[in-house]
Amino acid sequence: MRALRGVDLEVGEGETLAIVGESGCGKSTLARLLVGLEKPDRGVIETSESIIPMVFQDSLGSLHPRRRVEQILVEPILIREGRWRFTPADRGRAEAIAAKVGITAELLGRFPHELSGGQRQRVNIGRALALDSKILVLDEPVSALDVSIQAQILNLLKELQATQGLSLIFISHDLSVVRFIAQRVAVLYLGRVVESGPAREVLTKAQHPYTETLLQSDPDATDGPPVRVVQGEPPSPLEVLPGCSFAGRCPLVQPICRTEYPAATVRGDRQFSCHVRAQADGTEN
Amino acid sequence: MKRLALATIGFFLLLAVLGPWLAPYSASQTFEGVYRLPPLGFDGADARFILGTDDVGRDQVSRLIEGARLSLFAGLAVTLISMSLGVLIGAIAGWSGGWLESVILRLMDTLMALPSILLAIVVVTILGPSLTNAVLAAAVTSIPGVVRVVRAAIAIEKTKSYALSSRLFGAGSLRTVVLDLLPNCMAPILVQLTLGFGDGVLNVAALGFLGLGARPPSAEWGTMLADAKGFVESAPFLVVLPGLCILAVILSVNILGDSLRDRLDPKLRKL
Repeated sequence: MRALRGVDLEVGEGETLAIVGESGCGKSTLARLLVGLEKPDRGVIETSESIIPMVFQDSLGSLHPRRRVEQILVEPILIREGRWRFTPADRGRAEAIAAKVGITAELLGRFPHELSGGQRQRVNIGRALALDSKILVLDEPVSALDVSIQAQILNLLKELQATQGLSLIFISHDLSVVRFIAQRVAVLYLGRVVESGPAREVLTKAQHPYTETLLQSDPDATDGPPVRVVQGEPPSPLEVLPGCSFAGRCPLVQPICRTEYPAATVRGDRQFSCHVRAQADGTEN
Repeated sequence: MKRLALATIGFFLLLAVLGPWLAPYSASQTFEGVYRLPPLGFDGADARFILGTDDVGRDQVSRLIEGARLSLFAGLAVTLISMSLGVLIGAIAGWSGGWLESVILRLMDTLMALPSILLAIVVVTILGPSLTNAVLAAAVTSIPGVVRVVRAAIAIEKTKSYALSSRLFGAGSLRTVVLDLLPNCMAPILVQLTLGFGDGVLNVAALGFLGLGARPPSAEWGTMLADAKGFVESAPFLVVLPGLCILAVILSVNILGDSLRDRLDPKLRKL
């Protein structure tokens, strides 16, 4: 089975690239590939960094249950220096990292289960930045948090980005979160990027019919008109059909969609893969 | 129940450690003319020998205390050996996955397929009967259980995101297993350790009884049972007393192990 095919992404310095799509489209696989937890069968990932940290959705599960916050925060440094034990001398560094992500000093001595979800995610972000990485992958970092806490964490990320020139790859299924944080968006459907471009444009004037349905099924985006929900289930990634993977659910489907995968249409800094829209686009221009 | 079990274990541990000072006589000292005396309160008892004497006139109290030392330390040695090897092998299997894991697990299945006492007999037959060899044999038979428990725990922990995140930052296998995974597998390991101790005591005693462990005149409980088995009818207390000691220790250890299991993780009941 191939979870991902032909994914071609770029993220610039200090930029946030959001990867959106429904469950099972390959978002998490992509994240794991990016940070090197899995090896691609083909293709390459090029970065200026040797270690790309990642923040997981499960804020509790990604923290060592038997270590205190201060130890967790400096663990990447200990690993890099090949030291096995946390020493009191490391406390200063832990404090510095904690200050960056808004963890107060009294939380440093606590265990992960003694923290709130928001605090835990701050610890996760702090640890991810302990090595001063320039790039950070976040896999649904706020989906498990309350809305008010979500905003705090998103603001923290924006702030860190502004002060440190951090590039973020932000994986999410929540379009309102994406709208808030991302400059660029890539829409993933069944392991392929079907559309990408600047967030503002993609999220308002979608080109690919899948993006459109995705936007219309987002209650925040539609004021008034009834929510249109995508019909049917995505096809199984196990059976590879020729043609466009969205053809089976697409309202605009044409015969060609079932036989041939559409090549990417590039329009400035936007890109999409759709036969029908490519034609319409072509005649308009 | 738990308190009683804890008190029993504590009592025997105390006997084991302070034995030489508590015992009224040496375990091998024989007394003329006082053979197979019953404990105090029975006809023909002698006030010098609270629990009576055996067939060659040795004091039962002193022998049982010496037996506590031998049996408990044998159990401890079994546990230490099987735990250290079992945790090592189990961690390697759980961490590596793939063919190495399959090979190790099939090997452990093979060991488990043999009745443990049979396996122990094989080991002792090769090494020759002695308390040390009985300990080794008992350790070999309890390794597979430890390996399986540790492997399962490591295999679960290694997929959790805290372990993944350590790997992200470049932590090596040894570091991840020792610092990240094992501390979080302590609950099942601790339970296995307690239950393994009971099994160790029992297996060493069983081998002693079969004449494959400690040799007479050793006061190891199983050996004492074997010595006395000819007198079951004429002097039943010679069999009953060491038997009761074994029963009390094993039962208490198992009760403790079970309550530890329930306290540490109710999910472990399934393992």
